[in-house]
Amino acid sequence: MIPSADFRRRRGAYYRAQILMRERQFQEARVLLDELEQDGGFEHHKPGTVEMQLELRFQLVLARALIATGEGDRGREIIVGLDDELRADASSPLVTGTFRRRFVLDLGGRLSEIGEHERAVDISFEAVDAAGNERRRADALAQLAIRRIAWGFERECSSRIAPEPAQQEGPLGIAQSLYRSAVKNADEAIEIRSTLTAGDSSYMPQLLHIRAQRTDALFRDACVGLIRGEAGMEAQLRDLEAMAWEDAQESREHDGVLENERVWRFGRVGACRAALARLLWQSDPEKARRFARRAQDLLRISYKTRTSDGTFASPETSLSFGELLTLVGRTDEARQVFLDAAENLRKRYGPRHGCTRLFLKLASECGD
Amino acid sequence: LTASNRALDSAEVSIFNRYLSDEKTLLWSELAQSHQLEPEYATLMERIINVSLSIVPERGRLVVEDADGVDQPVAVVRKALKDGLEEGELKGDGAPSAATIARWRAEAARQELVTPIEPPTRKKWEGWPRERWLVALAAEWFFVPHAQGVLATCRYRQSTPLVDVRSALHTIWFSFLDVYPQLGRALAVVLHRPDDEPLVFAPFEKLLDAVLEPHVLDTAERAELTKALARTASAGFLEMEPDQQALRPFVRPCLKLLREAGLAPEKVPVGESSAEERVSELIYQLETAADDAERQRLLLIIGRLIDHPGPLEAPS
Repeated sequence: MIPSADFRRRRGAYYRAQILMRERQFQEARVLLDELEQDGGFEHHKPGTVEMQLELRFQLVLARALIATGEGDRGREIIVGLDDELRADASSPLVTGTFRRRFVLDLGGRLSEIGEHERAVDISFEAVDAAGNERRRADALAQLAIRRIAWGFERECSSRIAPEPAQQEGPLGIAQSLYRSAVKNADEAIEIRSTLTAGDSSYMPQLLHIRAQRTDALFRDACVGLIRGEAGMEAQLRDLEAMAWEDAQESREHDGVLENERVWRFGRVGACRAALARLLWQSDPEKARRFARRAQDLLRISYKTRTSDGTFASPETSLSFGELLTLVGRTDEARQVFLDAAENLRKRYGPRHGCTRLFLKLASECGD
Repeated sequence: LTASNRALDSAEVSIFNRYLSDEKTLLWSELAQSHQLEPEYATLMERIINVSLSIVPERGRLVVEDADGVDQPVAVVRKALKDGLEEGELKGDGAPSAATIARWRAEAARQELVTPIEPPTRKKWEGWPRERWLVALAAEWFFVPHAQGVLATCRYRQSTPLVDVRSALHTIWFSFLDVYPQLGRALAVVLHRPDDEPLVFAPFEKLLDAVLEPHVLDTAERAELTKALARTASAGFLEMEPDQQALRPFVRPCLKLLREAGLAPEKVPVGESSAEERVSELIYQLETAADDAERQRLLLIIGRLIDHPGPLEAPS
């Protein structure tokens, strides 16, 4: 059944809202989406149809616009509601097949963005199970790895609010386990994508992307090691710095990689150096200062380069940069970095999220 | 062409050609908006689209999988239009006025109606295989309401040229990719000419022209850009793999055209930013800089490129 002319006109309006979102004109997009919603959105159409699928996507975009324009609670409510709906109706014709596979990937990303990491990981498993071919399985595994890293980072932040490093089952232990699982998922995705890339080089950007995510997971695992005071961290971090540099180099040379992503990958090199500086600050101050100096440029640039949704820097970059500034005595600047990150995260995650609370705690400690 | 085909074409080609009236309204959509015709035409066009989906683009040509299926909707179109015009069904609420219908008839008789695609010569177009007309017709009928939706919002709250044109291009691509990617590919095959520039699909051209109108006042300049964008936008479907929904074949060439026309700034978001591309290059140079003076110079350039209010501070 081909959607009615009226439906298609509304879809035309919805496409514009999508572009406004991409161009970071959130307020404009919100006005348009609100109008579409007041007109009933697309919900009056029949289940299992293109119309219903569009309604679900429309709700996701609306939720993002609400979060970006300061109505985070309502946006989060919509996203969680969609997840509930999907779980309650796993086998219904509401959303099935190719659409469901894509939608769960998208929904997983949104759940992660609002700090519902457990749900995000859970739904990513569905995407892995539902993947009909190797390429899709690699996509889903890569997403699963990314969701696990985000969840692990939240647990890592929580552990730093109320430290309990000795307990393996505490937040830090969970974080480490999530990072290690993410590495395994990434390894599998890399294996599949390497085979695909051998036959078609256009898959190279995806391969580079998951490689960089794997390095991230290893780096975060090393950060847990630093918190726990484990031995052999310097050599491990030097290896990671070399891997991050290789990721950045390869992405620099490949056309298909998003440009701002190339910048962030150099930022990850900076994050490794910042960690080395922290590690050696007491034992080898001269070497530590050298690392700090070399980290600062990269982290600063990465921190200041806008992301696609208009925010500045990931929480991981903000944490590395803020901690480095604290280390070198630039506490005023560090406080601002932490406060900005907390505000940015509050909009998306809400005030009770582990990462938001950690940034507020770090900001309050600056200059003490 | 057989005699019967020729007879059919003389009647239907002129009808199929009425994609746009000289009042700049979209004819088929006007028909569809009519209360009396909406259900009938929806059913009719659905059949046409379903048939057109059996016309498979294959190595640059259309292969008709169900030849009998093609004839049937053509006959239905002929009858519906004939009945509609002769029996006054177009006089429902919101339908074109009697004067407009009379004008269409006169234009059809003189074969002066605006064509969906600029014909190199009318004779050549009249010799078009019927499946091509079906694809063009189905694509137009399917696409036009999307165009109306996006155009209404562009006019209601006008934005920058980049946002407005991207909205139109996004609508062109996703209206097909979301539902009937195969129809988009079939249309690209219809428009493709191996030894010449691709033909321009009038509904795409019309939408882009309307969106660009407030931004590009020079009519000739706008017409040239519109044609180039419309050609490039539809050509992307040709390069798309059957199961692929990526926008790679579409976005970059269109943005290049916009930049050349001065309608897109150098720094644009997500994946298209040459400024950010330069930053990653400059970071690499920064890492291998020979001395502090060189580092300061690079930091200054990067600071400007990433839209920071002042130059980046040098690390202590």
